[in-house]
Amino acid sequence: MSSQERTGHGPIEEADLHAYVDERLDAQRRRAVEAYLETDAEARAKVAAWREQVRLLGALYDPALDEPVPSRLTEVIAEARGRWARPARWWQAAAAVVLLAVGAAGGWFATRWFEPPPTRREVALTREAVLAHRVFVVEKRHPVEVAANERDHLVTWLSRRMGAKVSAPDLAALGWNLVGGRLLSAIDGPACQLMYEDRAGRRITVYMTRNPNNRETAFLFRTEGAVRSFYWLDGPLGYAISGEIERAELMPIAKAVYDNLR
Amino acid sequence: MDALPDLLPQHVPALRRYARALVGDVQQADDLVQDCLERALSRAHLWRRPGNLRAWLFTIMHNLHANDRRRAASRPRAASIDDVLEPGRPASQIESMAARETLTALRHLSLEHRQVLLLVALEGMSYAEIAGVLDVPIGTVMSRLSRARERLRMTGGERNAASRSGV
Repeated sequence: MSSQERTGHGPIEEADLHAYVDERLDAQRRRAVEAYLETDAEARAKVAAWREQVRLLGALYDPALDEPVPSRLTEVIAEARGRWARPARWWQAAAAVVLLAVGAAGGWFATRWFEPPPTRREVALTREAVLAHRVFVVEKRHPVEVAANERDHLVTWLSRRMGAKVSAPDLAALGWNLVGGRLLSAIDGPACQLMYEDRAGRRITVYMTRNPNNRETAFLFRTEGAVRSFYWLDGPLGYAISGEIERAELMPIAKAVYDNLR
Repeated sequence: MDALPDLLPQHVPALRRYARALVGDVQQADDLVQDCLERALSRAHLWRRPGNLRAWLFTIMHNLHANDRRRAASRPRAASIDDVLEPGRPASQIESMAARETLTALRHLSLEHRQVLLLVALEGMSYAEIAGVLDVPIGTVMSRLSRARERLRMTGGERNAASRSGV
């Protein structure tokens, strides 16, 4: 008999009434409670009300069980399954080899791939970034506040407002040209967005927000709908590189931004 | 033996349901579930087989939620997450007055009371299991459950229950 079940002939207490509603009584105790309820209208009212609460809470929230699970949740598990599929020792050995191999060149960037997953604060960074991305990449006449022909003014202005050095990385080698940037507001104060465009007219954004506690995170990836983001916190700022392009195409861009900011 | 990623999917719907009832907002609830899954996967070595995986996941989720609340409390926000409770379906579909009253009453419960009530009512967890998940004595679980149910009953649930059951 498990510890939560209530038994015996003792006087009926309120805990018995709860256990009765929650079907945690053994048969003997249940009969005792039922007999008791015959004699106590107040207890009967309580039991009926509590049962109704259970029913209503179920009616309110059980539909969530039947909803399709959002892809961002299934992806978390699928990615982990991919890692699990390899034998752990092999994986750790391989990771060590990779770290050694790229240690000199990739340094921090590479080591961060193997750190723990993000907290919600870090996820908030991408949410803000993706919201701003969606709003402004579709903008035809006013995609940015300050255009790329005023690059120096743009970075000076944004650095002053952000309270940290902001630079506009040169991504031309990857086929992405700076359109310009804008100041935004975010949960931790000012944020800013730089926009880049390729020759096909596709747009990606570099979003920067304050990192109040100078926390440092892994280099992380997240998908929200069609928008994919790489993001990280480092020093005074947090960064998110977002675009409606494949992860494999976004990754070298994110790495270039990271390298440029060092 | 199945690896943790193979065992997680069956728990996701229940985690989502509970998170939604706990924090209200659908997106924030799924954020919490995502954090929970990621944390569980990164700490898989801490899960002892054949442990109670569901209880372990709920424990992780409660700890993450508590951390989030501490962080949220330390900075001003436009609205507390507790101000915006969304049920499992749109409000327009919640025809019944009793359901709406329950939702309002739930919102006004303290977090500690809401946790226990939801673990009992939605998850059907045993009192001992809840004590483990919340890391409190079983007597505390019982007193919180009692207060939660009575608070809900005092805010309108009683009339509905009485009329339905014919008491």
